[in-house]
Amino acid sequence: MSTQDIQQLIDFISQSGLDEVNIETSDLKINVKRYGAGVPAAAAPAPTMASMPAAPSPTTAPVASAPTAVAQPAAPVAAPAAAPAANTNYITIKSPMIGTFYRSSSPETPVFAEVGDSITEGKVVCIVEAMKLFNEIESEVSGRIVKVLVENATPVEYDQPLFLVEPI
Amino acid sequence: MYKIYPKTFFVGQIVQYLPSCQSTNDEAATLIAQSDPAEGTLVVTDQQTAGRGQRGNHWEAQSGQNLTCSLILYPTFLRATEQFWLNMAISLGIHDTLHPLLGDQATALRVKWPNDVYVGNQKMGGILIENSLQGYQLATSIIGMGLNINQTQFTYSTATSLQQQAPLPDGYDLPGFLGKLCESIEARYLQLRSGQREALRIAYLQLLYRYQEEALYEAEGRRFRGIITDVDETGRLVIVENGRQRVFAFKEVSFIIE
Repeated sequence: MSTQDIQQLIDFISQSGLDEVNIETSDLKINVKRYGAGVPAAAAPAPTMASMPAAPSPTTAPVASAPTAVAQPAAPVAAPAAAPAANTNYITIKSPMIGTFYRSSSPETPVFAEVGDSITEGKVVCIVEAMKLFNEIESEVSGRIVKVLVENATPVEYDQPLFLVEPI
Repeated sequence: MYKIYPKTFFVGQIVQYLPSCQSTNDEAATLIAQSDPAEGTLVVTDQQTAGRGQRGNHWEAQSGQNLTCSLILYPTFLRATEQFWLNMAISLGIHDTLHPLLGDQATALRVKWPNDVYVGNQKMGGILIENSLQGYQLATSIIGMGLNINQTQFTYSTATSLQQQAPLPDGYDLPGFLGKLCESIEARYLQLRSGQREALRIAYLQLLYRYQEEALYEAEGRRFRGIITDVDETGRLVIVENGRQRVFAFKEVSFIIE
């Protein structure tokens, strides 16, 4: 099982609403457990980014909801599959909740972040609104916005990638 | 002027009074950006010139007649997906202050999902919460509240005030009212923070407008009769139509007044 496989498995489990998963094969035993009593958001197929770095825990993954994996491979873990060179280092900013994505605080004001903009950690990049509660989403990374992945004023799912950022 | 002496630990212990401002929520956001305001800090104004309702809607209030304020909280114990609990706690806090003042009308006091304060079929106030998130947790929360207190003339017949529903000879003392509001909001917020969610949920459902009543709704261009039976973890409204449960996010369903 490659690192990427393990990551995909973790992503799948975090989307599934399961609290604990144990998988055992002849050469591998894996145990994934979710921390906290927080109820996961309704399971929704979050688009997986092909360009995600093949690390088990991407920097944007929140500590509170990231499942921890305890893998005890009998065989050495295969090297991560090589991602297309151009995209290797991109990081996604994801939606922490289900809601409606807004790029500005009102239709009259400029967007928070545009493609090409340099952003720093803590910079507000968008608003996600749900049930009339408005949420400013701050970037947890510094870098340059490469792509805005969602149309303004459209629905977003839990963990859906919103921006592609090239770390600086 | 707003000198208030709420019997609280933190809510309303610090009050920033502005005779006039664009929006108390914006003022509170500036305060957070520029200083490090204590939890419970309140921004109050007599006149809000660009108050916000839902995106694009405006909240109009006559100067000095009503309560317009924003409360700063740091509910870092809540995940982004759990934020509707905050809405429930604040709604209940507002209810707890208004209920004893409303006399005969107290039983008509309701929260219209997701966050309007109603007496009968008329709106008395609203809540507008703006959070900032850090990762998947809440970091700061600005609770904007607008409550019609002494105003008695409204452009729209769908609006009402405390004075209209339960008149006092000299109207209501706004700072006095605000002090009481701080106390009841803090009590509900502490209830939430200490994990008493089930008690909050039950109390919230009991005061929900049209809860367990058959009424008319519209969704996806079609009108239907249904009964509100619940609000789920993420704050979505559960309506039962012909024995079938349907779940709606805000704007996916409208309440039709017959």
